[in-house]
Amino acid sequence: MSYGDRLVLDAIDLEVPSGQVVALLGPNGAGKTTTVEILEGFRQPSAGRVSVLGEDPATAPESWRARVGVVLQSWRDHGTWKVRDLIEVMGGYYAPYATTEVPRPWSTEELLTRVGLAPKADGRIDKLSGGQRRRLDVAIGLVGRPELLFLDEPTTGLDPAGRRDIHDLVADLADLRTTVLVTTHDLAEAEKIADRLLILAGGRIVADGTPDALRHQLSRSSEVRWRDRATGQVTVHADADPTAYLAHLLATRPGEVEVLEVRAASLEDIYLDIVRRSETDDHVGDHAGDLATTALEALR
Amino acid sequence: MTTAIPTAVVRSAARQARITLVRKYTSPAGLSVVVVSLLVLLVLWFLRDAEFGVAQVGATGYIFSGFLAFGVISAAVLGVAGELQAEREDGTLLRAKAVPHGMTGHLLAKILVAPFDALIPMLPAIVGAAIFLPDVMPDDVLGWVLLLVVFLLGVVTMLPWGAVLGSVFRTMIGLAWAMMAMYAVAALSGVFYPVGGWPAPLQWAAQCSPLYWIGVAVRSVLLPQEAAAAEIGGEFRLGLALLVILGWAVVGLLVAPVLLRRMARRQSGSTVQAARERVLAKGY
Repeated sequence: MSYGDRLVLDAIDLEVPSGQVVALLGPNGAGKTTTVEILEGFRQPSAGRVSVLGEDPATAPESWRARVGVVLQSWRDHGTWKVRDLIEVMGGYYAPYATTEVPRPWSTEELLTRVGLAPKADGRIDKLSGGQRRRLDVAIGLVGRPELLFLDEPTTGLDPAGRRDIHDLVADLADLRTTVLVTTHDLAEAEKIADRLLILAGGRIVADGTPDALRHQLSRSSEVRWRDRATGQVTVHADADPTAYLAHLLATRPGEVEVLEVRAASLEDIYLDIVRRSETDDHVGDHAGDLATTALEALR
Repeated sequence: MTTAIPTAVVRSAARQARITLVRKYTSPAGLSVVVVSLLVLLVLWFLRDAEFGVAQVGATGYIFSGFLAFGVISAAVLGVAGELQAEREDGTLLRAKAVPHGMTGHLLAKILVAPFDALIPMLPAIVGAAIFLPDVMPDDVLGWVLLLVVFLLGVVTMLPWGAVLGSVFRTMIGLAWAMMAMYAVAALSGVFYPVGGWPAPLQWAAQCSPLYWIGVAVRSVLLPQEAAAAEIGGEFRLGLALLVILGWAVVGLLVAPVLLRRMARRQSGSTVQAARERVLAKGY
């Protein structure tokens, strides 16, 4: 995917087993929303092949829509409607896609209870708090009992209570066997709700794994921090093998080093490092002819 | 968009239309449209004895028919254009796009709502006029039937053009300009008064606009026969007016779906996001 000669997404390949919660993590401007909108069929990739649940989202039939749920960042629609009415009207569109195993749409009362909006069922939508509004959006994303749910930055702009609500709600989805792709720029959030993290930087997936695996795999690098006794200047050095650096440091600057600290880099350090590197190494233009291949297969 | 529309979509659209109407006309903002209607009624009452035009026809007849014609035009064109523009920014269209056949259902609901959106604001004036000023209303069943036909045909004709404006003008400012242009066209094409006395080039220009023909059709149904003298050619040409309006309806119904499809295809979250940021930054 490119805008002008700026390539924003480049050769992304994903395979996601059914029922997994995957977080697409990256700094603002990394291409998360673009990726998700291509997968949702809301945007055409400039080149390449995209396949979601076995179909190209841009040309997929309406029956494909019935298997996919979408929750976007900034919905402010239907403010004068009642919560229950919007869920029911939207649910009505899924009725023709009901099967014996998957009754569609999801019953409104059950769904309202599930997302914790039952007490607000007859309230006006524009009277909901930010967190409640987002829960309604999630409810509508789920009303067709999708196999795959997209959540784009579900906690942006929410207060801590609202964020926790959404985290709990996503954690609760695990028993539905719905595959969830959630985008976020917040590592703590991603670690909390996702089974698997994908870090997107400079239009590429630069890390992929469970939070534990990533921590293990990436934290082989360590951070050495020390202060110069004379000038007070603090130096931070990241190194896969800090012993050599330490030996060199102590040998060349005897008596100059104080407040020496050596620690394994945390996942957050690694993430910030990746973000920093992607900001300096701007990936412009030179790959414009490449194919942006995006494939997301949720296997059932 | 596939051609076969499941009944579930029609049912959802009908439900959406019903909820939209109930929500709109049970809210203070929705009910405020009645005020305009009552004002028109008041003006009509004060002018009930004034006479106007070459044929010395009551001014009330002209004001009332202009009000009805413009009501149809503004509800169907300006109303729908403004709604589409707002819906693009608040995410309504994107939500419709995210459910199966959602966009079809959403537009279907709009078509169902439009006649009511045109009628409800005028209803108090129509009922009031029928009671207090029976002269300005049709005096037989045929007249009422014709009025209904003109009304529905007017809505069906103008609705797709509202959709065209709403999909072409992407910002509120652009749409405001389009609306100003629309008022100017309405004034220049004799929605409110006959243009029979105008210079020939202006008459021709007026007749190029569908608004002229809606104005003529309403006048021909509501005004007495003598008023025809002020029209182009000294007659109402109701048959021709209905044909021309129908022609505009056909063209609009061919053009609008193409533009709506294009608009739907281009709709993405970034439009909604940008609008949200603009509202936060500028307040509109």
